[in-house]
Amino acid sequence: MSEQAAVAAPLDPPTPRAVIRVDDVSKWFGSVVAVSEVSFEISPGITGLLGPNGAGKTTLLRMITGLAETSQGRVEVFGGNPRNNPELYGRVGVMVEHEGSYDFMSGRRFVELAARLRKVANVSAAARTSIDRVNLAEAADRPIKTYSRGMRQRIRLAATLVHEPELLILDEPLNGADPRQRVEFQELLLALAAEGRTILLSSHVLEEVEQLASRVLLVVNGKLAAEGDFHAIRAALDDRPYQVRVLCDRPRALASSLIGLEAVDSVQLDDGTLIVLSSNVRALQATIAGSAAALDVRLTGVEPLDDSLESVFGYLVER
Amino acid sequence: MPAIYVLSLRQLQSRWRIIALLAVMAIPLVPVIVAFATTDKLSALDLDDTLINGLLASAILPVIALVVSTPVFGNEVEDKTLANLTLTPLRRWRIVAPKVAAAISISVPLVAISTLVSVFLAFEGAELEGGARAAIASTIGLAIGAIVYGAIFVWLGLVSRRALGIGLLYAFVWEGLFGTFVDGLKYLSVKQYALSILHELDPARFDGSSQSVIGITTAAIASSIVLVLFTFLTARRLRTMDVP
Repeated sequence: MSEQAAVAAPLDPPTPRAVIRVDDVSKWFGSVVAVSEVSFEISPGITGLLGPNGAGKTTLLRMITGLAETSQGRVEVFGGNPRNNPELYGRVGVMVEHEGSYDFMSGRRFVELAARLRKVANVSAAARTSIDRVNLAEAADRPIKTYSRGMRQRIRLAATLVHEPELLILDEPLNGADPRQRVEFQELLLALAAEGRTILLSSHVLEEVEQLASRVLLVVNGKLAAEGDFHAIRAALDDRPYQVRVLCDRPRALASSLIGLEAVDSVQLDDGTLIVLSSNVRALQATIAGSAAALDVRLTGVEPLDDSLESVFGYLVER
Repeated sequence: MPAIYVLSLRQLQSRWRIIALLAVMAIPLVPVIVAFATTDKLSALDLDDTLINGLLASAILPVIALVVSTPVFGNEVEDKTLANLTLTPLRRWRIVAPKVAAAISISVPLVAISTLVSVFLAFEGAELEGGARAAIASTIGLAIGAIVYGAIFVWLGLVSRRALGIGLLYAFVWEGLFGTFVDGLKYLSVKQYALSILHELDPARFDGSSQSVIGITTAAIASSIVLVLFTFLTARRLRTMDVP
């Protein structure tokens, strides 16, 4: 995929199998714009919604699930408006970001309640199957208040799956999971996707999405910064100019040493602050560190200059 | 939806709420003791003014209804568990109706027990005839008040995070002052509906009451309208709000 293709663009015409359509959607709270003119489509398989905390992922998911009204634009799920559309929720499973479960209940009762509310025919059997799927059978009869955070996430996923939804929308589902649970969770999601379901999951951790989703939506500051194949986006981003501010005790000396090096496109000194432009982020990091060490310059910080897609992506890689 | 009804009953069972409710229920025993202790015996209309109107209808009834009803949705909003209910293929009224029913199922017995016991004992203490009839009439009237307040305060708990404070202001300022002393507003006062019903159910004791009454039929119709209206408003709010 080219760099141009990776950057968000209005979507039309719709793809025939689009399960979710988000068309020019914005959401603002007073004067604060949380999501701005976002458009994309989601088809069966796993799609990762990626972005740093506060980027607008949860707000976007809340509009897709119908929990929140859009300020502008339109959302369609299975061709219908998800807002005030109870019939639609029989086909959708949603796991919201916060741990909204009933602590006084046992895990099994919680999943059975979810099954009853979704009019599942055989409540006990469906709950048992769903609990087995998240590998929580042994703890199912304990009160939820005794669960670890990872166990709570799993029982909430079981409740989300209990009515066998065609579409799963999961907001930060791997929060609190330990490494083993994370692997199990990923295997489960891959199995669910292989059954033909559509899964949209959000995360602020790149590696989580990398192992699950081939397709990624990258949200930065409420805008869709990029979408498409995960590896193509990553490659495109690596080739783009990257501006960093270097904080050190002898900026002039370090600037002189950096000029002409392969990883450095240009260098500028602004009021004693060293700013470096590079097209190769990874090489630049090594270059700055190497030059500083050679000159015995004390580095106090290397930080992205703006909140651009590149800097956010760099942040995510480092996470 | 029975599952939501049972869930709501369980959610309302907090230890501190139960202790607070039991304490409120016991307050009317104070005038009962006075009725027994005073040598200058009270009349039925005295008890109507002080115990039934002054305490039970003006304070005990709205406070119990408030403490029970506002958390029905308020706690779900606070705990962010409301999405568990709204992200289901249930029409909004099928979520609201069992919630209102749960609030009423708790507040009505509490108001009824407090009223029945205190009114009966007060009439006994004042050595008045027909204490049982007066107690039953008062219980029915105030139980209907608890049902209507239940619908109002369930709605209030969904629309405001300061429902308890607003509800207390409403009960004491609107119902206690305007609804009592501004003649036209008695048609918009739940307390007046309750008093009107109980007064007409036992005219032998309460005929000539100084409390303004609007007639039992009007009170019953008005109570039904308010109950349906606020249940509808709660369902509409659930449809239009952004669920946390």
